[in-house]
Amino acid sequence: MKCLFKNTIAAFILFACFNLRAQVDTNQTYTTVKDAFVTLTAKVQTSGDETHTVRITNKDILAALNATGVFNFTDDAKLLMQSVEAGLPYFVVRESISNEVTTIDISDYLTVTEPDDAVHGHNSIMNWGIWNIVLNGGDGNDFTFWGFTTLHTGSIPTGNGGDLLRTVNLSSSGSGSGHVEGANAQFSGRVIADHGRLD
Amino acid sequence: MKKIVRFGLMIGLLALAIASATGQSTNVVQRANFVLKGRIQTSSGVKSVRVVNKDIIAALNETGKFNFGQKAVLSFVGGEDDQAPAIVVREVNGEATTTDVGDYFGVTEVGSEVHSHNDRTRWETWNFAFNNGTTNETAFLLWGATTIHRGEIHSRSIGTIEGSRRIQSDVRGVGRVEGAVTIFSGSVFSASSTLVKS
Repeated sequence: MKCLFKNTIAAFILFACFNLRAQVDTNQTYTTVKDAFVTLTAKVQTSGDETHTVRITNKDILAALNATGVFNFTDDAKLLMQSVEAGLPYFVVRESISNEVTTIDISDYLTVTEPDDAVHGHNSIMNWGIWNIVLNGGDGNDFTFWGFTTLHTGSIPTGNGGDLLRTVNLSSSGSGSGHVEGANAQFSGRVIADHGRLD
Repeated sequence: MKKIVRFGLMIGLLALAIASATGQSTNVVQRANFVLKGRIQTSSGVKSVRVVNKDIIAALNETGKFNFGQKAVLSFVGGEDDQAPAIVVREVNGEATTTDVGDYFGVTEVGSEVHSHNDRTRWETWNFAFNNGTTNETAFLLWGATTIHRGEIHSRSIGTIEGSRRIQSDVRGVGRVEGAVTIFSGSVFSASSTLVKS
């Protein structure tokens, strides 16, 4: 009888601990990141009333951000998309200075908004939305881009034996208008983000 | 000789006075073609739908304000200025009628254009906005990389002007088909430019 009582108490404590653990896991806020890559082509008006074509990639975005005077990113800076609790992602820049990793929110200068609802496939494994990505950089570099965005959901290990179902990669293809070094420009191309992982 | 010159001058001035008095301007009219693929949200997932001119005209008829027939066509109407065109519906039932649908359907240019040296090609970003405003609405906002090919357009009765001969816009956007959220992609293009006096 004493043994049965002891076992019952032990089982109860174990059950209570399990419940508490489960509750902690449920209340945890998960942030994920993906490596982001901007690949745009800009048709730019030149002063002689001609046009020329330039390629806009991550390093041009980082240079335009530095030109605002607000940032001072190095060549090692990486463009990422961060998302809290599967929300709409926002851009951050991560760099390592003197072995210290810093993450800088740049979403006031490179913004992502979704003008309307997304469409979700079966079990939300694939989702589609329209994204408006706006750059407000320095030295007359800016754009407003509208992209047809496809998002793929996959498992991201949480490190404690569980998995999160989150966007693991996305691609936004589209076009827009803006300026390159102050000259009128029309942009087309895509923004992709992949290698989704827990942050 | 002097009399001939004077007569010619008078004729010219008279023609100018008539044109000013009537306040007529020349418009370029082009048939507009919408070819869109929509991914519609359903209770179990997604289904695909094609949205073309006849669906847009049907959605306009659903407003109760119009009663367009099978022969109705969507057209762009642009002036001699550099503005984005208006969208109208043209029908020929014996005589041609043009109906303004601007309360439901419009085009605006976003940002500033880029143009070729001779201005024969322009690259712009266009926003197409459609909403029939019904309970189970059909609506969309599309953004498109738009190429405008310009050149001389000739009409025997009006003459020749420089204007938009062909438009091609690769679009993507979001909206509703019969009330369900829909993501769109596709193209909008025009052809057959003609001149009309308005």
